[in-house]
Amino acid sequence: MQLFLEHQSSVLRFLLTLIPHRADAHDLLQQTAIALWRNFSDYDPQKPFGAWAYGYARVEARRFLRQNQRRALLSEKALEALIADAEIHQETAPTEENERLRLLAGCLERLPNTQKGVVAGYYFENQGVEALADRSHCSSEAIYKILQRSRKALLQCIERKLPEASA
Amino acid sequence: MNTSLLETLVNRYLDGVASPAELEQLSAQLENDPEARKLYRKFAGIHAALASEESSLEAALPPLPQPSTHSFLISPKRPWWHPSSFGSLAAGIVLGIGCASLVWGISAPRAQILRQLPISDGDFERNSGPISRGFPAAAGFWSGDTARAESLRSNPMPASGEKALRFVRAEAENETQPAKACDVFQWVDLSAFAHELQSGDAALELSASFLNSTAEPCTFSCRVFLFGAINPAAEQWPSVARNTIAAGSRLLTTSTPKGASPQWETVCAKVIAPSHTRLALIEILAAPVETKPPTAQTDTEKTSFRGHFADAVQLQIRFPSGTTKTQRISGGLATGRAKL
Repeated sequence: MQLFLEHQSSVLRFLLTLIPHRADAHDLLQQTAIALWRNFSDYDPQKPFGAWAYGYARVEARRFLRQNQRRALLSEKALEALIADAEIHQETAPTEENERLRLLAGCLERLPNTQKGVVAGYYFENQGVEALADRSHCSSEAIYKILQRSRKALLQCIERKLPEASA
Repeated sequence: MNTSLLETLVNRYLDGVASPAELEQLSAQLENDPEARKLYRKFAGIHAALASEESSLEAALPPLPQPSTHSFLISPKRPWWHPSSFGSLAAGIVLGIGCASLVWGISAPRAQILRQLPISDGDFERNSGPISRGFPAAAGFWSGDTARAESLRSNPMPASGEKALRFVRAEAENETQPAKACDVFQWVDLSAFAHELQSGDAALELSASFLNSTAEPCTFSCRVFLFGAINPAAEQWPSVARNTIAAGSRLLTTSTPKGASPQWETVCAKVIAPSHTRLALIEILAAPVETKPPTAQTDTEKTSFRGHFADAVQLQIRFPSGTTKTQRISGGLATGRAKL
């Protein structure tokens, strides 16, 4: 139980990279937790729990994709390629992910005010794009553009700081 | 494919607005190009970190003004994204003429009014015994999985009044899904607030107190889904959630160590209401965090709860004072424990 609680945030983030819709990813996290406990007797405590948990999260993501082919999702081959890459990077991922998260908090503070407002509304206040557009008197498409620019600005900020942080 | 187009496609996928043709194009690129996957991982990583409600990130952005149970006329401090400098105002303008008002539209500081919304029996004091079973077909009553309103006289005490809702048993949504959570719902008719909602500036805040008196961890959640003009009698759970126009949720995982006194904990979910909101669906639920493999029976049929409670469910609407002629609401409504 404690092991899962320690890893559930990173498992959720992993699922969100494959299945970006938040409610779907949370459902998959729940399914992953159930699968882990069903199979806990198979877990080798000598091995990292995170890697074992990611394995079940991948299974759940694949199952979701197969069951929801009519939904706006990537192809199965594309998902498999992303999963294969994730497995390759799994060794270094936790350290780098933690560092990126730490830097992201600082980069968020540096966003221009408009982007901060949209990012906070969309991600932390659970406002839909339509609601954000509604109250700001601009189009939904403009809000999507701001979100895209915000993510890019955050990415560039993190990548600028990563070499400094690891130096 | 050039990088700019790839970035656009990736972001449209992350936001759930990519067309079938765009999805096909993006999928083909990701299948064949390791550099495209690298770029996808980077953008998706940012989305995932923000969407996972990482508390350290939320803390990086100061919160919106919090509701008060003492005063209904709130004069918020200047929001953090208010364009207090030339630089930030310019940032709003360079986004284009269509969005020049965005900074002001979102953040202009105005006094706000907070009102209790008429949810039925939010303190579970009015009735005793089991609530209705099944997904509710109309507004004004609790209904859902097996749960009951019951008196709590000691250890645990209710969060308010004399009674609380006891979660009893989770039921599966359908034959193919395992029973994961004990869900309890209530529809709330917001049509009387159409005027306040019209501006698109109103926020709904759903708060609920939860208590887990057992040592096994349990996740509680309160969620509020908003809808336009739909007919509750024609809807079913969970398919109704696909028609939502906005939603807010908060999770709480808690347990009571052996020998400790159980404590109530309160969570609050917020959502900004689009101007055409007419109905809200409240959901409160308890879901065990499994600590051992479920048996065949619990997997497909039932999950029982032994000491899991909810109480003091409140739904409030917050809107700018200019939206309505009512500038101040009498203090009689201000007590958080008022029976609805």
